[in-house]
Amino acid sequence: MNRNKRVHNIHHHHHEAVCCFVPDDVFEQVIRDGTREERDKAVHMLKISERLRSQRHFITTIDPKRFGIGGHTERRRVVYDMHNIGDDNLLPGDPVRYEDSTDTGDSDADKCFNYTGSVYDFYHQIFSRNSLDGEGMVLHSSVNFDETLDNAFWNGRQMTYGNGGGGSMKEGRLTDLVVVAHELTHGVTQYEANLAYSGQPGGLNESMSDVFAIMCDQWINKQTVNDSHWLIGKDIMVRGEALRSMKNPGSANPGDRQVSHVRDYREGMGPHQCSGIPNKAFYTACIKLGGNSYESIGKIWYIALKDRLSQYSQFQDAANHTYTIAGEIFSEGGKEQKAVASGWSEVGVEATKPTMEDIIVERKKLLSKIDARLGR
Amino acid sequence: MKIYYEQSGGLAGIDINTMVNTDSLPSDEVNKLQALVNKADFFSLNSVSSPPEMGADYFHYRITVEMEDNQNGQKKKHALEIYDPVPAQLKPLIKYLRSKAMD
Repeated sequence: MNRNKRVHNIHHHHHEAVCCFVPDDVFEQVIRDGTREERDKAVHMLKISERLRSQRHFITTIDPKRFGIGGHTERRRVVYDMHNIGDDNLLPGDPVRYEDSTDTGDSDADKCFNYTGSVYDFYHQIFSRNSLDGEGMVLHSSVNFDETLDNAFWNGRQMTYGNGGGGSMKEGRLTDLVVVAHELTHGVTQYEANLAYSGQPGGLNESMSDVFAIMCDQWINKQTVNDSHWLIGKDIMVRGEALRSMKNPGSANPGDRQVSHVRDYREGMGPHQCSGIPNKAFYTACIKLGGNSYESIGKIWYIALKDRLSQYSQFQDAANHTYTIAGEIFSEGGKEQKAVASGWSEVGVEATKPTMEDIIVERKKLLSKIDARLGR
Repeated sequence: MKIYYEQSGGLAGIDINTMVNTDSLPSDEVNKLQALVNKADFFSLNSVSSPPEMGADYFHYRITVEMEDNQNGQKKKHALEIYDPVPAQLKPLIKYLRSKAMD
Protein backbone atom coordinates (compact mmCIF):
# COMPACT_ATOMS: atom_id res chain seq x y z
CA MET A 1 0.00 0.00 0.00
CA ASN A 2 1.45 3.34 -0.92
CA ARG A 3 2.01 6.09 1.57
CA ASN A 4 -0.06 8.67 -0.30
CA LYS A 5 -3.19 6.61 0.07
CA ARG A 6 -2.63 6.23 3.78
CA VAL A 7 -1.96 9.92 4.23
CA HIS A 8 -5.16 10.61 2.32
CA ASN A 9 -7.09 8.60 4.93
CA ILE A 10 -5.93 10.95 7.64
CA HIS A 11 -6.67 14.05 5.59
CA HIS A 12 -10.16 12.90 4.84
CA HIS A 13 -11.80 14.37 7.94
CA HIS A 14 -14.63 16.77 8.47
CA HIS A 15 -12.84 18.46 11.35
CA GLU A 16 -9.77 17.89 13.43
CA ALA A 17 -11.24 15.54 16.01
CA VAL A 18 -12.90 13.33 13.42
CA CYS A 19 -11.13 10.22 12.24
CA CYS A 20 -11.79 6.90 10.67
CA PHE A 21 -10.44 3.63 12.02
CA VAL A 22 -6.78 3.63 11.05
CA PRO A 23 -4.25 1.18 12.54
CA ASP A 24 -1.54 2.76 14.66
CA ASP A 25 1.21 1.57 12.32
CA VAL A 26 -0.27 3.83 9.63
CA PHE A 27 0.01 6.84 11.94
CA GLU A 28 3.53 5.81 12.86
CA GLN A 29 4.50 5.60 9.20
CA VAL A 30 3.05 9.07 8.56
CA ILE A 31 4.95 10.45 11.55
CA ARG A 32 8.11 8.97 10.05
CA ASP A 33 7.59 9.85 6.39
CA GLY A 34 4.90 12.56 6.19
CA THR A 35 5.07 16.32 5.82
CA ARG A 36 5.10 18.45 8.95
CA GLU A 37 1.33 19.01 8.77
CA GLU A 38 0.71 15.30 8.22
CA ARG A 39 2.99 14.47 11.16
CA ASP A 40 1.11 16.84 13.48
CA LYS A 41 -2.23 15.31 12.54
CA ALA A 42 -0.91 11.79 12.90
CA VAL A 43 0.51 12.50 16.35
CA HIS A 44 -2.86 13.96 17.36
CA MET A 45 -4.75 10.92 16.07
CA LEU A 46 -2.34 8.53 17.73
CA LYS A 47 -2.89 10.27 21.05
CA ILE A 48 -6.67 9.95 20.67
CA SER A 49 -6.33 6.29 19.74
CA GLU A 50 -4.12 5.61 22.76
CA ARG A 51 -6.44 7.54 25.06
CA LEU A 52 -9.48 5.57 23.89
CA ARG A 53 -7.64 2.35 24.55
CA SER A 54 -6.62 3.37 28.03
CA GLN A 55 -10.14 4.61 28.82
CA ARG A 56 -11.56 1.26 27.88
CA HIS A 57 -9.00 -0.52 29.98
CA PHE A 58 -9.87 1.80 32.86
CA ILE A 59 -13.61 1.24 32.54
CA THR A 60 -13.34 -2.52 32.34
CA THR A 61 -10.82 -3.04 35.12
CA ILE A 62 -11.88 -0.64 37.84
CA ASP A 63 -13.64 -1.75 40.97
CA PRO A 64 -17.35 -1.04 40.31
CA LYS A 65 -17.93 0.18 43.87
CA ARG A 66 -15.05 2.64 43.80
CA PHE A 67 -15.97 3.98 40.35
CA GLY A 68 -19.59 4.22 41.35
CA ILE A 69 -21.27 1.92 38.85
CA GLY A 70 -24.36 1.81 41.02
CA GLY A 71 -25.81 2.73 44.35
CA HIS A 72 -26.33 6.44 43.64
CA THR A 73 -29.43 8.16 44.82
CA GLU A 74 -29.30 10.80 42.11
CA ARG A 75 -28.65 10.74 38.39
CA ARG A 76 -25.11 10.08 37.22
CA ARG A 77 -24.34 10.48 33.53
CA VAL A 78 -21.14 10.22 31.54
CA VAL A 79 -21.04 11.00 27.82
CA TYR A 80 -18.08 9.78 25.78
CA ASP A 81 -16.89 10.88 22.34
CA MET A 82 -15.87 8.14 19.92
CA HIS A 83 -14.45 10.72 17.47
CA ASN A 84 -16.17 8.90 14.58
CA ILE A 85 -14.29 5.69 15.20
CA GLY A 86 -16.66 2.77 14.57
CA ASP A 87 -14.84 0.13 16.57
CA ASP A 88 -16.99 -1.53 19.24
CA ASN A 89 -13.84 -2.73 20.99
CA LEU A 90 -12.92 0.89 21.76
CA LEU A 91 -16.22 1.75 23.47
CA PRO A 92 -17.02 3.79 25.47
CA GLY A 93 -14.39 6.25 24.18
CA ASP A 94 -13.16 9.60 25.39
CA PRO A 95 -15.17 10.96 28.39
CA VAL A 96 -16.28 14.52 27.58
CA ARG A 97 -19.26 15.30 29.82
CA TYR A 98 -20.00 14.53 33.49
CA GLU A 99 -22.61 15.74 35.98
CA ASP A 100 -20.50 18.68 37.13
CA SER A 101 -19.04 19.73 33.75
CA THR A 102 -20.35 22.33 31.30
CA ASP A 103 -21.50 22.02 27.68
CA THR A 104 -18.91 20.50 25.37
CA GLY A 105 -19.98 22.46 22.29
CA ASP A 106 -20.55 19.16 20.48
CA SER A 107 -24.27 19.16 19.73
CA ASP A 108 -24.70 15.38 19.90
CA ALA A 109 -22.74 15.09 23.17
CA ASP A 110 -24.73 17.88 24.83
CA LYS A 111 -28.10 16.70 23.52
CA CYS A 112 -27.34 13.17 24.62
CA PHE A 113 -26.32 14.33 28.10
CA ASN A 114 -29.40 16.53 28.56
CA TYR A 115 -31.93 14.05 27.20
CA THR A 116 -30.39 11.20 29.19
CA GLY A 117 -31.10 13.37 32.23
CA SER A 118 -34.69 13.90 31.08
CA VAL A 119 -35.21 10.16 30.72
CA TYR A 120 -33.69 9.50 34.14
CA ASP A 121 -36.05 12.13 35.63
CA PHE A 122 -39.04 10.61 33.85
CA TYR A 123 -38.40 7.16 35.28
CA HIS A 124 -37.56 8.58 38.69
CA GLN A 125 -40.51 10.94 39.07
CA ILE A 126 -43.20 8.86 37.39
CA PHE A 127 -42.19 5.33 38.33
CA SER A 128 -39.91 5.98 41.36
CA ARG A 129 -37.18 4.17 39.43
CA ASN A 130 -33.55 4.99 40.14
CA SER A 131 -31.74 4.50 36.80
CA LEU A 132 -31.78 1.54 34.43
CA ASP A 133 -31.13 -1.11 37.05
CA GLY A 134 -33.30 0.55 39.69
CA GLU A 135 -30.20 0.80 41.86
CA GLY A 136 -28.66 4.02 40.61
CA MET A 137 -26.25 2.74 37.97
CA VAL A 138 -24.25 5.35 36.08
CA LEU A 139 -25.61 6.04 32.60
CA HIS A 140 -22.79 5.66 30.09
CA SER A 141 -23.44 6.96 26.55
CA SER A 142 -21.10 7.24 23.58
CA VAL A 143 -21.73 9.69 20.74
CA ASN A 144 -20.08 10.25 17.33
CA PHE A 145 -19.76 6.49 16.84
CA ASP A 146 -18.53 5.64 13.33
CA GLU A 147 -18.92 7.96 10.34
CA THR A 148 -22.39 8.83 9.00
CA LEU A 149 -23.92 5.84 10.83
CA ASP A 150 -27.71 5.77 10.68
CA ASN A 151 -28.12 3.88 13.93
CA ALA A 152 -28.14 3.99 17.72
CA PHE A 153 -28.00 0.91 19.90
CA TRP A 154 -27.84 -0.53 23.40
CA ASN A 155 -24.98 -3.03 23.76
CA GLY A 156 -25.98 -4.51 27.10
CA ARG A 157 -23.90 -2.03 29.11
CA GLN A 158 -24.30 1.38 27.51
CA MET A 159 -26.01 3.50 24.84
CA THR A 160 -24.19 4.29 21.58
CA TYR A 161 -25.23 6.88 18.98
CA GLY A 162 -24.19 7.41 15.37
CA ASN A 163 -24.35 10.82 13.70
CA GLY A 164 -26.86 9.93 10.98
CA GLY A 165 -26.39 11.45 7.54
CA GLY A 166 -25.79 8.04 5.95
CA GLY A 167 -28.66 8.31 3.46
CA SER A 168 -31.71 7.18 5.42
CA MET A 169 -31.51 9.44 8.48
CA LYS A 170 -30.84 13.13 8.90
CA GLU A 171 -27.62 14.25 10.54
CA GLY A 172 -27.65 15.05 14.27
CA ARG A 173 -31.09 13.61 15.03
CA LEU A 174 -30.12 10.30 16.63
CA THR A 175 -29.63 12.05 19.96
CA ASP A 176 -33.24 13.33 19.98
CA LEU A 177 -35.21 12.69 23.18
CA VAL A 178 -37.34 9.83 21.84
CA VAL A 179 -34.32 7.94 20.48
CA VAL A 180 -32.43 8.40 23.76
CA ALA A 181 -35.48 7.23 25.74
CA HIS A 182 -35.90 4.24 23.39
CA GLU A 183 -32.30 3.13 23.91
CA LEU A 184 -32.32 3.67 27.69
CA THR A 185 -35.51 1.64 27.95
CA HIS A 186 -33.71 -1.32 26.36
CA GLY A 187 -31.55 -1.12 29.48
CA VAL A 188 -34.57 -1.10 31.79
CA THR A 189 -36.02 -4.09 29.92
CA GLN A 190 -32.74 -5.98 30.25
CA TYR A 191 -32.72 -5.45 34.02
CA GLU A 192 -36.39 -6.37 34.43
CA ALA A 193 -38.35 -8.73 32.15
CA ASN A 194 -35.17 -9.40 30.11
CA LEU A 195 -37.35 -10.13 27.10
CA ALA A 196 -35.59 -12.16 24.41
CA TYR A 197 -34.80 -10.36 21.16
CA SER A 198 -36.63 -12.54 18.67
CA GLY A 199 -40.18 -13.67 18.00
CA GLN A 200 -43.00 -12.18 20.09
CA PRO A 201 -40.75 -11.47 23.13
CA GLY A 202 -38.57 -9.48 20.71
CA GLY A 203 -41.62 -7.54 19.54
CA LEU A 204 -42.55 -6.82 23.16
CA ASN A 205 -38.95 -5.77 23.90
CA GLU A 206 -38.95 -3.27 21.03
CA SER A 207 -42.46 -2.11 21.86
CA MET A 208 -41.51 -1.38 25.48
CA SER A 209 -38.77 0.93 24.20
CA ASP A 210 -41.27 2.78 21.98
CA VAL A 211 -43.98 2.85 24.68
CA PHE A 212 -41.76 4.41 27.35
CA ALA A 213 -40.09 6.71 24.81
CA ILE A 214 -43.40 8.20 23.69
CA MET A 215 -44.59 8.51 27.31
CA CYS A 216 -41.38 10.36 28.16
CA ASP A 217 -41.95 12.66 25.17
CA GLN A 218 -45.53 13.35 26.33
CA TRP A 219 -44.38 13.98 29.91
CA ILE A 220 -41.64 16.41 28.87
CA ASN A 221 -43.94 18.24 26.45
CA LYS A 222 -46.93 18.17 28.85
CA GLN A 223 -49.13 16.42 26.31
CA THR A 224 -52.24 14.37 26.89
CA VAL A 225 -52.78 11.25 24.79
CA ASN A 226 -54.82 13.36 22.37
CA ASP A 227 -52.09 15.99 21.98
CA SER A 228 -49.33 13.54 21.08
CA HIS A 229 -48.26 12.70 17.52
CA TRP A 230 -47.51 9.12 18.64
CA LEU A 231 -44.50 9.05 16.34
CA ILE A 232 -41.19 7.43 17.22
CA GLY A 233 -38.31 9.43 15.74
CA LYS A 234 -40.36 12.26 14.29
CA ASP A 235 -38.54 14.12 11.47
CA ILE A 236 -35.48 11.87 11.72
CA MET A 237 -35.88 10.11 8.39
CA VAL A 238 -34.82 11.59 5.07
CA ARG A 239 -37.96 10.11 3.53
CA GLY A 240 -41.13 9.82 5.60
CA GLU A 241 -42.35 11.47 8.79
CA ALA A 242 -40.75 9.16 11.38
CA LEU A 243 -39.20 5.79 12.17
CA ARG A 244 -42.51 4.37 13.37
CA SER A 245 -46.08 5.37 14.07
CA MET A 246 -47.77 3.89 17.14
CA LYS A 247 -51.13 5.14 15.88
CA ASN A 248 -50.77 3.68 12.37
CA PRO A 249 -47.97 1.08 12.37
CA GLY A 250 -46.51 0.59 8.91
CA SER A 251 -47.20 4.13 7.70
CA ALA A 252 -44.26 6.19 9.00
CA ASN A 253 -41.87 5.94 6.04
CA PRO A 254 -41.53 4.13 2.69
CA GLY A 255 -39.57 1.24 4.28
CA ASP A 256 -41.85 0.84 7.31
CA ARG A 257 -43.19 -2.75 7.30
CA GLN A 258 -44.66 -2.81 10.80
CA VAL A 259 -47.79 -4.89 11.29
CA SER A 260 -50.59 -3.95 13.67
CA HIS A 261 -52.65 -7.13 14.09
CA VAL A 262 -51.77 -10.66 15.23
CA ARG A 263 -53.25 -12.15 12.07
CA ASP A 264 -50.29 -10.59 10.24
CA TYR A 265 -47.67 -11.92 12.67
CA ARG A 266 -45.27 -14.50 11.14
CA GLU A 267 -42.48 -16.55 12.69
CA GLY A 268 -39.13 -15.00 11.87
CA MET A 269 -40.51 -11.48 11.77
CA GLY A 270 -38.06 -8.87 13.08
CA PRO A 271 -38.66 -7.33 16.52
CA HIS A 272 -39.18 -3.88 14.96
CA GLN A 273 -41.76 -5.26 12.56
CA CYS A 274 -44.01 -7.10 15.00
CA SER A 275 -43.64 -4.47 17.73
CA GLY A 276 -46.38 -2.63 15.85
CA ILE A 277 -48.89 -5.04 17.43
CA PRO A 278 -48.25 -4.19 21.14
CA ASN A 279 -47.54 -0.56 20.14
CA LYS A 280 -51.02 -0.25 18.65
CA ALA A 281 -52.54 -2.01 21.69
CA PHE A 282 -50.90 0.53 24.02
CA TYR A 283 -51.91 3.48 21.84
CA THR A 284 -55.52 2.28 21.64
CA ALA A 285 -55.77 1.68 25.40
CA CYS A 286 -54.42 5.19 26.07
CA ILE A 287 -56.82 6.84 23.62
CA LYS A 288 -59.78 4.90 25.03
CA LEU A 289 -58.99 6.14 28.54
CA GLY A 290 -57.79 9.66 27.71
CA GLY A 291 -55.71 11.90 29.98
CA ASN A 292 -52.00 11.35 30.56
CA SER A 293 -50.61 8.03 29.36
CA TYR A 294 -47.98 7.82 32.10
CA GLU A 295 -50.48 8.22 34.96
CA SER A 296 -52.64 5.20 34.16
CA ILE A 297 -52.02 2.84 31.24
CA GLY A 298 -48.28 3.58 31.48
CA LYS A 299 -48.19 2.50 35.13
CA ILE A 300 -49.89 -0.77 34.18
CA TRP A 301 -47.31 -1.38 31.44
CA TYR A 302 -44.48 -0.52 33.84
CA ILE A 303 -45.61 -3.06 36.43
CA ALA A 304 -45.97 -5.66 33.68
CA LEU A 305 -42.39 -4.97 32.52
CA LYS A 306 -40.99 -4.92 36.04
CA ASP A 307 -42.84 -7.73 37.78
CA ARG A 308 -44.84 -9.94 35.42
CA LEU A 309 -43.30 -10.39 31.98
CA SER A 310 -40.32 -12.68 31.48
CA GLN A 311 -37.83 -13.74 28.83
CA TYR A 312 -40.23 -15.72 26.64
CA SER A 313 -43.50 -13.84 27.21
CA GLN A 314 -45.88 -13.73 24.25
CA PHE A 315 -48.38 -11.06 23.19
CA GLN A 316 -51.13 -13.05 24.94
CA ASP A 317 -49.13 -13.01 28.19
CA ALA A 318 -48.66 -9.25 27.92
CA ALA A 319 -52.39 -8.81 27.33
CA ASN A 320 -53.33 -11.04 30.28
CA HIS A 321 -50.88 -9.43 32.67
CA THR A 322 -51.73 -5.84 31.80
CA TYR A 323 -55.45 -6.67 32.07
CA THR A 324 -54.93 -8.24 35.51
CA ILE A 325 -52.71 -5.42 36.76
CA ALA A 326 -55.34 -2.86 35.68
CA GLY A 327 -57.85 -4.66 37.90
CA GLU A 328 -55.40 -4.86 40.79
CA ILE A 329 -54.16 -1.26 40.91
CA PHE A 330 -57.31 0.52 39.71
CA SER A 331 -60.52 -1.48 39.91
CA GLU A 332 -61.83 -4.80 38.68
CA GLY A 333 -64.05 -4.08 35.69
CA GLY A 334 -63.15 -0.38 35.88
CA LYS A 335 -62.48 2.00 33.01
CA GLU A 336 -58.73 1.35 33.03
CA GLN A 337 -59.22 -2.40 32.73
CA LYS A 338 -61.77 -1.93 29.96
CA ALA A 339 -59.36 0.36 28.09
CA VAL A 340 -56.61 -2.25 28.34
CA ALA A 341 -58.94 -4.98 27.05
CA SER A 342 -60.00 -2.72 24.15
CA GLY A 343 -56.40 -1.98 23.29
CA TRP A 344 -55.47 -5.65 22.97
CA SER A 345 -58.74 -6.55 21.27
CA GLU A 346 -57.97 -3.93 18.59
CA VAL A 347 -54.89 -5.97 17.59
CA GLY A 348 -56.63 -9.34 17.80
CA VAL A 349 -55.60 -10.43 21.30
CA GLU A 350 -58.40 -11.07 23.81
CA ALA A 351 -57.10 -10.40 27.33
CA THR A 352 -58.08 -12.72 30.17
CA LYS A 353 -56.78 -13.32 33.67
CA PRO A 354 -53.58 -15.39 33.67
CA THR A 355 -53.97 -19.16 33.96
CA MET A 356 -52.28 -21.31 36.61
CA GLU A 357 -49.54 -21.98 34.06
CA ASP A 358 -48.92 -18.25 33.76
CA ILE A 359 -48.64 -17.96 37.52
CA ILE A 360 -46.08 -20.79 37.61
CA VAL A 361 -44.04 -18.95 34.98
CA GLU A 362 -44.19 -15.83 37.15
CA ARG A 363 -42.94 -17.77 40.16
CA LYS A 364 -40.09 -19.24 38.12
CA LYS A 365 -39.21 -15.75 36.96
CA LEU A 366 -39.17 -14.49 40.50
CA LEU A 367 -36.86 -17.32 41.57
CA SER A 368 -34.50 -16.70 38.66
CA LYS A 369 -34.41 -12.99 39.56
CA ILE A 370 -33.49 -13.82 43.13
CA ASP A 371 -30.82 -16.22 41.86
CA ALA A 372 -29.44 -13.52 39.57
CA ARG A 373 -29.31 -11.00 42.41
CA LEU A 374 -27.50 -13.51 44.59
CA GLY A 375 -25.12 -14.31 41.73
CA ARG A 376 -26.16 -17.97 41.48
CA MET B 1 -17.37 -10.27 -9.22
CA LYS B 2 -20.88 -10.05 -7.80
CA ILE B 3 -21.73 -9.00 -4.26
CA TYR B 4 -25.17 -9.38 -2.72
CA TYR B 5 -25.89 -7.26 0.35
CA GLU B 6 -28.89 -7.38 2.67
CA GLN B 7 -29.13 -5.36 5.90
CA SER B 8 -31.97 -5.50 8.42
CA GLY B 9 -32.57 -4.44 12.01
CA GLY B 10 -31.05 -1.36 13.56
CA LEU B 11 -33.06 1.25 15.42
CA ALA B 12 -35.23 1.81 12.34
CA GLY B 13 -35.80 -1.88 11.59
CA ILE B 14 -35.76 -1.10 7.87
CA ASP B 15 -34.45 -3.62 5.32
CA ILE B 16 -32.11 -2.45 2.59
CA ASN B 17 -30.36 -4.50 -0.08
CA THR B 18 -28.32 -4.22 -3.23
CA MET B 19 -26.40 -6.30 -5.76
CA VAL B 20 -23.12 -4.95 -7.08
CA ASN B 21 -21.78 -6.43 -10.33
CA THR B 22 -18.26 -5.30 -11.18
CA ASP B 23 -18.99 -5.83 -14.91
CA SER B 24 -20.97 -2.61 -14.79
CA LEU B 25 -18.47 -0.56 -12.77
CA PRO B 26 -15.57 1.60 -13.97
CA SER B 27 -12.16 0.00 -13.46
CA ASP B 28 -11.07 2.30 -10.62
CA GLU B 29 -14.17 1.36 -8.65
CA VAL B 30 -13.64 -2.33 -9.40
CA ASN B 31 -10.13 -1.97 -7.95
CA LYS B 32 -11.49 -0.18 -4.89
CA LEU B 33 -14.11 -2.86 -4.28
CA GLN B 34 -11.59 -5.66 -4.79
CA ALA B 35 -9.32 -3.98 -2.25
CA LEU B 36 -12.18 -3.80 0.27
CA VAL B 37 -12.95 -7.51 -0.21
CA ASN B 38 -9.25 -8.33 0.20
CA LYS B 39 -8.91 -6.10 3.26
CA ALA B 40 -11.91 -7.79 4.85
CA ASP B 41 -10.25 -11.16 4.18
CA PHE B 42 -13.81 -12.01 3.23
CA PHE B 43 -13.31 -15.63 2.22
CA SER B 44 -11.72 -16.43 5.59
CA LEU B 45 -14.53 -14.97 7.71
CA ASN B 46 -16.85 -17.32 9.57
CA SER B 47 -20.11 -17.79 7.66
CA VAL B 48 -22.40 -17.37 10.63
CA SER B 49 -22.25 -15.38 13.84
CA SER B 50 -24.71 -15.83 16.68
CA PRO B 51 -26.99 -12.95 17.62
CA PRO B 52 -25.43 -11.00 20.48
CA GLU B 53 -26.47 -12.30 23.90
CA MET B 54 -27.25 -8.79 25.13
CA GLY B 55 -28.16 -5.56 23.44
CA ALA B 56 -30.73 -4.23 21.00
CA ASP B 57 -31.01 -2.34 17.71
CA TYR B 58 -27.96 -3.96 16.15
CA PHE B 59 -27.83 -4.51 12.38
CA HIS B 60 -28.07 -7.99 10.87
CA TYR B 61 -26.31 -8.66 7.54
CA ARG B 62 -26.36 -11.22 4.75
CA ILE B 63 -23.43 -10.73 2.38
CA THR B 64 -22.45 -13.02 -0.49
CA VAL B 65 -19.40 -12.58 -2.72
CA GLU B 66 -19.01 -14.51 -5.97
CA MET B 67 -15.80 -14.15 -7.93
CA GLU B 68 -13.34 -15.92 -10.13
CA ASP B 69 -10.54 -17.63 -8.30
CA ASN B 70 -7.24 -16.31 -9.69
CA GLN B 71 -5.48 -19.59 -8.92
CA ASN B 72 -7.67 -22.02 -10.87
CA GLY B 73 -9.99 -19.77 -12.86
CA GLN B 74 -13.05 -21.36 -11.29
CA LYS B 75 -15.80 -19.46 -9.53
CA LYS B 76 -15.71 -19.22 -5.78
CA LYS B 77 -18.49 -18.06 -3.50
CA HIS B 78 -18.72 -17.23 0.18
CA ALA B 79 -21.82 -16.14 2.13
CA LEU B 80 -22.01 -14.53 5.55
CA GLU B 81 -24.96 -14.17 7.90
CA ILE B 82 -23.73 -12.04 10.76
CA TYR B 83 -24.75 -9.49 13.36
CA ASP B 84 -23.16 -6.35 14.71
CA PRO B 85 -20.63 -5.94 16.15
CA VAL B 86 -18.89 -7.22 12.99
CA PRO B 87 -15.11 -7.75 12.66
CA ALA B 88 -13.39 -4.38 12.22
CA GLN B 89 -11.82 -5.35 8.90
CA LEU B 90 -15.28 -5.93 7.38
CA LYS B 91 -16.61 -2.47 8.25
CA PRO B 92 -15.22 -0.58 5.21
CA LEU B 93 -16.81 -3.11 2.82
CA ILE B 94 -20.14 -2.85 4.67
CA LYS B 95 -19.94 0.92 4.54
CA TYR B 96 -19.38 0.81 0.77
CA LEU B 97 -22.24 -1.64 0.18
CA ARG B 98 -24.58 0.27 2.49
CA SER B 99 -23.96 3.48 0.55
CA LYS B 100 -24.65 1.59 -2.71
CA ALA B 101 -27.92 0.30 -1.26
CA MET B 102 -28.91 3.85 -0.32
CA ASP B 103 -28.22 5.25 -3.84
